[in-house]
Amino acid sequence: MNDEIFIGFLKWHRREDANFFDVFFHDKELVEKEYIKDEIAFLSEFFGLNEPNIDFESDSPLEVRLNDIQGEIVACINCNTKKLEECGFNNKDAVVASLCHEFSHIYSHGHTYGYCDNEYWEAELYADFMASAVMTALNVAGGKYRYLIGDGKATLTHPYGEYRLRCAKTAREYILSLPPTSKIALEDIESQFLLFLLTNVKDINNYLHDHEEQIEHALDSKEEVKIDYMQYPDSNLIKQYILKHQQNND
Amino acid sequence: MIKNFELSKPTTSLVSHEICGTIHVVGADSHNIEMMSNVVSKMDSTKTMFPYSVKDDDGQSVGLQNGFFVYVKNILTQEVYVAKAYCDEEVTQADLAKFIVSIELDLKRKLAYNIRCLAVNSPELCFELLSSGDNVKEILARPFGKAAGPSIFGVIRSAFQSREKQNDFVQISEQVLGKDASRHDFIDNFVDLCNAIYNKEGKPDQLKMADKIVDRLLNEICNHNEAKMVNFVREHSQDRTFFKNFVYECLDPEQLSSKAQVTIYVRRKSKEETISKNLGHYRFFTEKGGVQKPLKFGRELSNVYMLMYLIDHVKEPERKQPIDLKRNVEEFKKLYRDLFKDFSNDDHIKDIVSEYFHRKDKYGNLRSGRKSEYIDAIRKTMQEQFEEYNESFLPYIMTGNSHLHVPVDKIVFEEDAKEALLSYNFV
Repeated sequence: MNDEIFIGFLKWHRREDANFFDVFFHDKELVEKEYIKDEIAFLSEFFGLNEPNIDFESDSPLEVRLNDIQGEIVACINCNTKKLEECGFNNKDAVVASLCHEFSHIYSHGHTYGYCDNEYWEAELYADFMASAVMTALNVAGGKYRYLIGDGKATLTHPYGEYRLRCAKTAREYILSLPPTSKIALEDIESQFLLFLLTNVKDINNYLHDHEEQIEHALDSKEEVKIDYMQYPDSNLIKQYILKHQQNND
Repeated sequence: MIKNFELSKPTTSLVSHEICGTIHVVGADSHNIEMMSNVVSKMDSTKTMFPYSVKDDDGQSVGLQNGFFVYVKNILTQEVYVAKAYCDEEVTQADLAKFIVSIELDLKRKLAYNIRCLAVNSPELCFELLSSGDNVKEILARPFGKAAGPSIFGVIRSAFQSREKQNDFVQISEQVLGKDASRHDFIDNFVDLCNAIYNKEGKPDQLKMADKIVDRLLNEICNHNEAKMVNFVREHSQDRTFFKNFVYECLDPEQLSSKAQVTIYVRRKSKEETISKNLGHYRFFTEKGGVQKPLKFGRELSNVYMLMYLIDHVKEPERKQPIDLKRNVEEFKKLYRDLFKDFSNDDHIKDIVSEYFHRKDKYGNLRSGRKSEYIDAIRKTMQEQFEEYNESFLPYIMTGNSHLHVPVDKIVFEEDAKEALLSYNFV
């Protein structure tokens, strides 16, 4: 096999099924604002939506705001490319994946079906499902995205990572199970999400009730602690990895 | 995939309530039925309206080849419905999930409507029902999700304190709006309005004021004079936006347009007239019964915006959707230049267009654009002027989600401006 193709395959594989090191140290690309703008234009067309406004000087890595202006829903995507990169969305595919997630929120207008006791959770699961299905359909590698959502703890606004990951994987499997030439409608993906929701909602609600107190305080205790790996002994694997990475960069 | 879903009254009256919730699956093999039973068993029955189960059926009783049907009942009225879904190919588990969610959403909407009507027609009974300990209360207490519609069950306070008021309301709303769907919408909005007023508990002055507002609104609705209503609300209400939206929502501009008598004229400024800061090289006039009045909106861009809608309405009278400025930026710029003869540079117009969508506050945070300000300026001017004519202004204004409704013959571009204005094409 041609080396280039083989390297490409490895890269693709790593992106599809990523671990901590793949996410934060491998396959990093510079994602320019122009690229994000182009992708937003493309996804607007794909979802059949008006192009949202974009603000690149936001405080949060990526979020969407839906404003009701005189009865018309106007979406605004707030994005901070630097913070996005720090969170692990550090290559083009990962950024497109996160944009797909935000577009799913716009597509649903934040509507929920009321089966999950926490409406925000339901909305997030919807967006994860939709994003994962769309990414798979568009041939965008979702390894980093899945790792990052699957790693999260439950908060009042976001469900436990395991459920998000399960949701994303179900969506991916659904798209992969379709014949390659079949047309994929967003409505069909929604139906699949409903199936996922109805069959998993009992679990999700039980988790929510069992960990209610913990979830309520999840954000309070979330303090950013920077770990200085250099203080650890040389046998520490992460330290070794960082040093090796630095050497390679030099 | 589900092609058609309907919830209707069953043709036979011999439906036993015990079979409600049993989903009859038509056109699936035994393995598929087993999978569907598995789906249903995994569902959280405390979150659904019925404990569902799945059963194989040949579909002959309802004329189905592929699909589902189930008998369900409205827990409030005890009415039984049959929900049917037609599929063009073999049914899947995802179809089943969609079918169940569709049934529940439809039933929830029906339930919400029943409760609103009950709140209007018989608040005592409604209170009784909602405070009772039976399963109705339990089901109503469940989160319904935004897909089922706006908030539903916060309405029941003392929305109408006396029987006379309730009767008046029902009678008047029927007289004014008939018994069709628009009346239902009206009732929905009205009860929410009353709820918003009466929620201000413990402040007697406000309650007194709320009473006055309800009385006055009832009278004004009877006279169908929304201009006065809006004025009254503007003067007295504590929550202007809510009232304004309420009034706009419950009156249908399309219906009102058939009674429109005011004509809007657009012409170029004459040589004697000076160039106006806000109007540039064009002038707007309104005319009714030989009386002409100049029309001038408070904001520069409102004039461009209005002209854009007028042109588009004349060219495409059937269009109901508002104009998407993002897709018409170039035409907008051209029109702006035509109005103000501003050929200096592009930056000024670029800023205007970008501010239309969003702008930054003093802290640098992104906030919504000036679109609503432009529309508000148009609405305010129109309202004031049309009040003098004693005419409804609603068909003459656009909103965030609707175009103008005025008949096209009530818009006149005078000869000197006609050709230039009609050369614009908005998509």
